[in-house]
Amino acid sequence: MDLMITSSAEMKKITSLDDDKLWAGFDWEETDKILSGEIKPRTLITSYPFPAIRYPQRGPLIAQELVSVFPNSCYMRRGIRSKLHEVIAKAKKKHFTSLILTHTNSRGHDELIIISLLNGASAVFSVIDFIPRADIPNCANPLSRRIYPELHMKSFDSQASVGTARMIQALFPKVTSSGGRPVAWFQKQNNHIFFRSHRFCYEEALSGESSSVRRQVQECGPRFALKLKAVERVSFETGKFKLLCVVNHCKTDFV
Amino acid sequence: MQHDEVIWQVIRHKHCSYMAKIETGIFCRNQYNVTGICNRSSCPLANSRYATIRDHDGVFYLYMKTIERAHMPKNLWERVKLPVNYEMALEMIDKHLLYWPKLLQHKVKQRLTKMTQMRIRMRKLALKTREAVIPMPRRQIKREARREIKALNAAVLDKAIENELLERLKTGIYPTDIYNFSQRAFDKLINKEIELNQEVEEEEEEEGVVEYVEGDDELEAEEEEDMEDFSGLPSKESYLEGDDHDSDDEENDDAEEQVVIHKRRALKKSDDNGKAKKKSRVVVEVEQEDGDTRRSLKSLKL
Repeated sequence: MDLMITSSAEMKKITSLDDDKLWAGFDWEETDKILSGEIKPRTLITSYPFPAIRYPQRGPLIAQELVSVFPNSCYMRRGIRSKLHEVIAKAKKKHFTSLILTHTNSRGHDELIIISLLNGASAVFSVIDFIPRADIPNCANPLSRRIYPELHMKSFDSQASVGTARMIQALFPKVTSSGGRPVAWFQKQNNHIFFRSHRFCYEEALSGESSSVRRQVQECGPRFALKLKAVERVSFETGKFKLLCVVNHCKTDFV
Repeated sequence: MQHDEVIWQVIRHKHCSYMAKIETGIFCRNQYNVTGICNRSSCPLANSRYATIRDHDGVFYLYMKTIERAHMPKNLWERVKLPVNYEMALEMIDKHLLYWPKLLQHKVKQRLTKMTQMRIRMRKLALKTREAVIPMPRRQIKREARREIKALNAAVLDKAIENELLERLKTGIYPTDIYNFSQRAFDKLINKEIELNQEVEEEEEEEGVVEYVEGDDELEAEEEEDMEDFSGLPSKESYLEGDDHDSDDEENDDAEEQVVIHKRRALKKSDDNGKAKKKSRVVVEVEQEDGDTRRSLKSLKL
């Protein structure tokens, strides 16, 4: 299993890390370059090599939906015998900046792991309530992938959340705010990060209304909620995860 | 005193907490049991002279119990570390259990063999990556579900988004006016772009639409063979024709017909798989007509 399970003693040590130290161990220079616009991010989305026992279809399905969420991303199917470090090596060769793994575990819960290929940081999220585009009522058509969405992060206040915010920001290219772009909305609320995607559209008003044309906000794109589970460090050579911090949900507000 | 017989009578016929009765037999859950079966000769409680092998973190220890220490439960079991090498471990067992009953020696050696095999297997498995089943207590699941609902309600997302975006509109952050993209006009623009930047486009599409699987070449070859057996044509054809933006509906219809016919062939399990591919590409309508004529002939005969 890519995720190594540490013994209980080690886990206790790990969970005592403060919020500040969660993300401090990583090198943030490269990510800052993405944020400032120097490097364009490129994401590789894939699922686990072995299909989940109960829901083998879900992992790849979610991965394919995510391709429309994150700009400049590609989905790659994964063979049974491919190992993580091989995938990472190939991704680095082709200048991908991040890697996203989707997986449905044996209990039926979905998981998402964002690995930043620049500094080896990886954040494990559990995906709650994933609603694909098809299931959203009155959904707007997705625009071409060449129009990058604007990113809006709301309520990422505390220290630890800055790290998560940076990981997510590193997936989106920097974009000048101009009208007509779809907006990717990440809102943090009580340890959950909700994602929505909306764009403006004109609505022809019905007869009897004062204004002839109204601007409306229409939802496009899937909906999902993320919950941070753990922060890990990936070693690029072996592909093993080193658990840095497990998020302890007994505390009231970690992020 | 030799209490063994008494102990055994009581344990077996009255009650033993280590005993587990299953359909297939009676087992002993005692950690010091050599065989794991509830037997007069394998019961560690009913034998004052006993030996086992136990494993701690991959290291095997030989445990021995004698009558002399029967009154000292704390020092009852004598422990000897066994070497990792299988033959040397066997020699060590011979040395320590030299004048012991043959049955015990035999059972202990059997146990050692089994445990070494298991050790090897576990080490091999640890190298592979497997899915780990991580249990989560039910309370946590319910708690998390409840918290998620609360968070959803607290974050009044739709209102927040609408308000924020409409405010942005009002404050005039967006310099130019909003485009209401009509899909057709946009597609035209994009097509122009595609023609301009064809090289870059192709690379991107290849990476996005990866049909084959990452991994061994053998695997790829196997999968390709399977595909050909069933109906490898449709995917290949659709891939080829998808590139041409000017493909008419006629071509698509032909592709469908070919697909349909080939599938029928597969169902009939004809031996002409090689021929069928060629036939279905070239002579499509003729065969259908033949089939029809045959049917009509049959009806005539009847």
